[in-house]
Amino acid sequence: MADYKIKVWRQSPLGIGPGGGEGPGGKEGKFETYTINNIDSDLSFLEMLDILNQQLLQENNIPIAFDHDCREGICGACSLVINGVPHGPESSTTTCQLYMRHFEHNSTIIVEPFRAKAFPVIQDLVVDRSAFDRIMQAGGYISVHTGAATDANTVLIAKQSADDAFTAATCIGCGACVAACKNASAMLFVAAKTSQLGLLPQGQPEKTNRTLKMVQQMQLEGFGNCSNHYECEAACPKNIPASYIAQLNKDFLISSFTNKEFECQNDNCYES
Amino acid sequence: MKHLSQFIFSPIGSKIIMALAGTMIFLFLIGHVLGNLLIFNGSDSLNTYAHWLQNNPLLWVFRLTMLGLLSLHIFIALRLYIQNKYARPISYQVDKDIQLGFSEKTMIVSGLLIFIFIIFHIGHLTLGWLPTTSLAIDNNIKMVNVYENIVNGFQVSWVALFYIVSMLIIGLHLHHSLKSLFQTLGFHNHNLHWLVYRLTPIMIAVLVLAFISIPAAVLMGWIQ
Ligand code: FES
Repeated sequence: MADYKIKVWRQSPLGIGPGGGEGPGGKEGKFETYTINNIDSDLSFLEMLDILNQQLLQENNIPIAFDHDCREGICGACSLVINGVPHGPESSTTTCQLYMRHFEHNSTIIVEPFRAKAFPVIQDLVVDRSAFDRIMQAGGYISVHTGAATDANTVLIAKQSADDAFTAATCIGCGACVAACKNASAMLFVAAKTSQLGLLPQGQPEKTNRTLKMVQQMQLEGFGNCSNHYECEAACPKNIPASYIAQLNKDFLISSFTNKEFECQNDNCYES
Repeated sequence: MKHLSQFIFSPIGSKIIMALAGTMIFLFLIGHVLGNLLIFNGSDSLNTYAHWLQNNPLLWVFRLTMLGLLSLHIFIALRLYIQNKYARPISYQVDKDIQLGFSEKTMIVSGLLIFIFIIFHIGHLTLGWLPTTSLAIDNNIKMVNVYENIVNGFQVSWVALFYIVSMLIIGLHLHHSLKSLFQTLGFHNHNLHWLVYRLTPIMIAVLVLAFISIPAAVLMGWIQ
């Protein structure tokens, strides 16, 4: 059993809270510190927040909003920057799979939302990550005919390509790469999503268009550029290596000079 | 043409161009240091070489190309830097580096310091801003005595130290640049790891030490 001080970001960007008032943290947001006692070391970080929220409710306060869904490390809904690291201090771990035994008794834990212009705060620790959805809509798919599915293994795929595509496909789209990057760049996400299709035969017909469109959308959403710092790779709960970014760089270079179809929506492709 | 301009302003394209411009400057540095090392072969070698360079018809083509590449490199770097700052308007309360190295973190600062050095360096030896540099034709050898300018210049200890520190900063800048180059151009083959992580640091060390050897040798009195 351990006690903690939880210093957490509270913000109500709309300036309205339940039951009137301007909502916790106000429009601009600020840190609040709460004390929480008798926490079992086998509780997950999110369970600890659940208990804290219960405590807040009993004290007639508004609970802290945070994102979560599967709580088993596969959906990418949970987020949080804990003591300066997205998904907390344990590597290859999502926040929902992070346990309180990793935090010292009586320590102060600082919890912040993912910070990026492209990820505006909705409430407290919940940020709007729909920019990722729009990047996917821009080209993160393959077009196939409907009807009966073809037999398995009619298209042969080299083991290495299948493995590489699979590694890329383990991206759960949580946004930790953006949160960890000093430039709030989404390159690792985009690289994983272009590679999981671009490395397979089924992804070839739309490859150059996909690459150009997804990179364009990334820029229009206001993410930063890659400085090859590889903080994304270190923060990624799925250990996706930054070499996929090199793959994206190469694909982008080739696509830029071979694609004849891609047209920008406005005069300047990359400024909204 | 439209494709080219789209490419230049894209987040990845601009980095590729910055990387290529930087690479050209790096190749120039290798040529530069090889020429410099002639100083150890005595004043005649260096002076004749410098004379040949100064009277080369391609001198200005070369100088303008280097100026263009440098401006492009700096312009893109600053543009990316500003965009990156905009991408995170509110910074973290705890801003922790998970694995970020010193060289990576200080690229913009080392870049600016190198820029200041370049201006000083051109002012010092090419434009003769310092009293130790004489651009007049030496009557004995019928050309500018570059050898003497260098030796006299580096005998002033703050000048020599400034050069030495600047060379170390260039090494710091190159440390991240050369690793980045492969990533930006899309090489990520495992076989290249050896080249990127073992060979490039050695190359940088040799380059920096070769540059430093000259002010150091003058300071120690080995070259007079
Ligand atoms: S809640 Fe699904 S990954 Fe954490």
